[in-house]
Amino acid sequence: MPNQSPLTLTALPVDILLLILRDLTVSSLAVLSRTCHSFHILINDAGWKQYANQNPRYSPSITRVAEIWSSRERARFAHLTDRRWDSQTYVARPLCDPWATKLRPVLCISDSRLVLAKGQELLLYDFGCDHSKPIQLPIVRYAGSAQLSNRTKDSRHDITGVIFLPDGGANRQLCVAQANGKLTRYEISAAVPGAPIEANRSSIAARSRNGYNAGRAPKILQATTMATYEHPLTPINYLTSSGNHILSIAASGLASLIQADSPWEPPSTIKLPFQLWSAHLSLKSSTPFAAIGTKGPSPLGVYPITQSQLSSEPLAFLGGSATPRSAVYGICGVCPGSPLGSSDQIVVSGWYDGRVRVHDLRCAPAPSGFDSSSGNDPLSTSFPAPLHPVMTLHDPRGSLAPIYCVATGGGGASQLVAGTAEHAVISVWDLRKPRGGWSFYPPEGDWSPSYSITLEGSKLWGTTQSRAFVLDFGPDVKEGTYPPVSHQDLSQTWDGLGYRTTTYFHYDSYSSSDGNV
Amino acid sequence: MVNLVTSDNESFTVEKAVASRSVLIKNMLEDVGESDQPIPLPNVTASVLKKVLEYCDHHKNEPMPTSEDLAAEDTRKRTTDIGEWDQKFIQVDQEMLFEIILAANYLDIKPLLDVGCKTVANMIKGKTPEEIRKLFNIVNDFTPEEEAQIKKENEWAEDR
Repeated sequence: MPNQSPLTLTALPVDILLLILRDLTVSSLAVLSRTCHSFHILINDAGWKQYANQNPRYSPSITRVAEIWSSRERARFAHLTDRRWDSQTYVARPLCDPWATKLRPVLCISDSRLVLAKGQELLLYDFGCDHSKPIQLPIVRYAGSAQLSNRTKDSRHDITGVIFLPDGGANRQLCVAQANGKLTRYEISAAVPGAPIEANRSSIAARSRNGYNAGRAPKILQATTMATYEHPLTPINYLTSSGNHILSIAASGLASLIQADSPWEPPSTIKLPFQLWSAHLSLKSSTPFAAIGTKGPSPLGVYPITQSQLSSEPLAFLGGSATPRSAVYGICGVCPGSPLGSSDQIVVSGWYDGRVRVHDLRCAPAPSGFDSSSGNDPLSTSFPAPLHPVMTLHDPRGSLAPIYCVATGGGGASQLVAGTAEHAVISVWDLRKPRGGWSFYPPEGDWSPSYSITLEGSKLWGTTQSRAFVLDFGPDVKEGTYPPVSHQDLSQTWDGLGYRTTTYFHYDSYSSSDGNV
Repeated sequence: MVNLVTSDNESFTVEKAVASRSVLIKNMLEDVGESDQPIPLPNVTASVLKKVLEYCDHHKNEPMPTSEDLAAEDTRKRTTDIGEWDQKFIQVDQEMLFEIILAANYLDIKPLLDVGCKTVANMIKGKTPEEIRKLFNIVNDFTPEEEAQIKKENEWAEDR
């Protein structure tokens, strides 16, 4: 059209500019926002938000702080965290002083707190926000502990599993499994009636003004029994959940599916002829299933769930090493945004032979040749041969000690983390380049197994037999971000923020096929 | 064959397979059925349509992107790679590049819109603010104070 000024970049409609921004890196977005007002406004208003949506992270401990942040601050946190994962830069800290007896502690996390269950005690760490800095920084505060029983000498009462139950976001209702087979729904509250343990924004603000250090005194919390679930009185080894469904796993071979909101309903229980160790619930996939890790020659089975009923007829066995001593001790799914794909049909497992295996239930079992493009669900076909792993990882410099726990998440939503049975060593692989990985000994890791790992965007939480620890890859760890610890047996890093850990790198840790199948 | 008429009143007669790369035209043809009626494209000039049809002709035998492909685009890591032919095709002056992008958006030709946007993104990458302003004729409307402050608030994003 004549007499019109030439079409320029800034004259393009906003929806098209956003398509262009979609293909820019963080540094290019930042540079472009420095060119003129209109780009500065566009990128601050929509560009960073789009970047955050393209790079989803599972990060419960910063969820509430991030709600206060601008999209640029969220993008900054995600970007700097990813970079620190890439360079293995972190602050490592014990969460508490070590305890004297050897325990098997477990963790669970929600967007307002972390729960550490050790022995017969629940320790709560609240996720808060430090308002004293120019941008609000995430902090972790010790909220107190609740003792569930006073028979502390009797390990049959020890907690073996803990999970958060949906309670409308208050995150005070927990389901706790004990070694004696008791399964209880508790509500945690302050010992003084009416006093808040709640991490709502105003109380966080009030507390952080008082200083993070206020109150080293033991804080007593109350655990009130809300419901006792009907459960076979057999030692519970592991507890997992998805929404309102709880799955308990017992050494005796019993697996029970319980509906958390209907304690009067008897559990759907199956009996397997193995010792059961671990489980993963996937209820959102087209064929809901429970993956159960056992001891024995076929230690990883997939059992279908229909209408809250668990079936004892396995849909598939997931292959790996097939010796009689074989066992699967840890199972998890993949986090959103993972390079493996965010499918509910991917199962990650930790094995007795020191290997981590990744199975994709959509893959064909080796012999029958399944056409995945036909739209058939492989789970709905007749019982297949063991499914080959799509990926097998190990730490070739380590001892090949059994893997006790696995988790996915972290930087780039791409990290796969495995805790081993020896020296609390934890191995980390970046699934975008899994040929090499790195391993570390947690701060004062003891001669202990790694009992549990919880992984989120910026943090790796873990437990050994005598303490809980955190590795924080976030950019904003300051003095006071974590509760102080008093013990002297650890050596501090030069900045005084964390404690020294030993790390080593390993290569050739990856194989796409598995010789042992 | 399909008859297309541009905003500057030029008419183009092309194969249906070529015109149907545009989801807009494809839907129009489906709605109208068999007809010799020319299709008016009031938002596209002849010089731009010529270029767009060249792209459509080259890609006429490829499968159309499915809705799943498009949904996956947003979640999965996008590649910034552009095919060899497309790269040569898009080596045009800036004004034509933006016109092609606008036309691809209007005519609903997702792959071409993608090639255009990626090309612009590649032009931006690795440059300083001053280089970007120069390349795209952007007027620096910041005061020196504002410029310093915005530099500071974005320091974290710099490549190191």
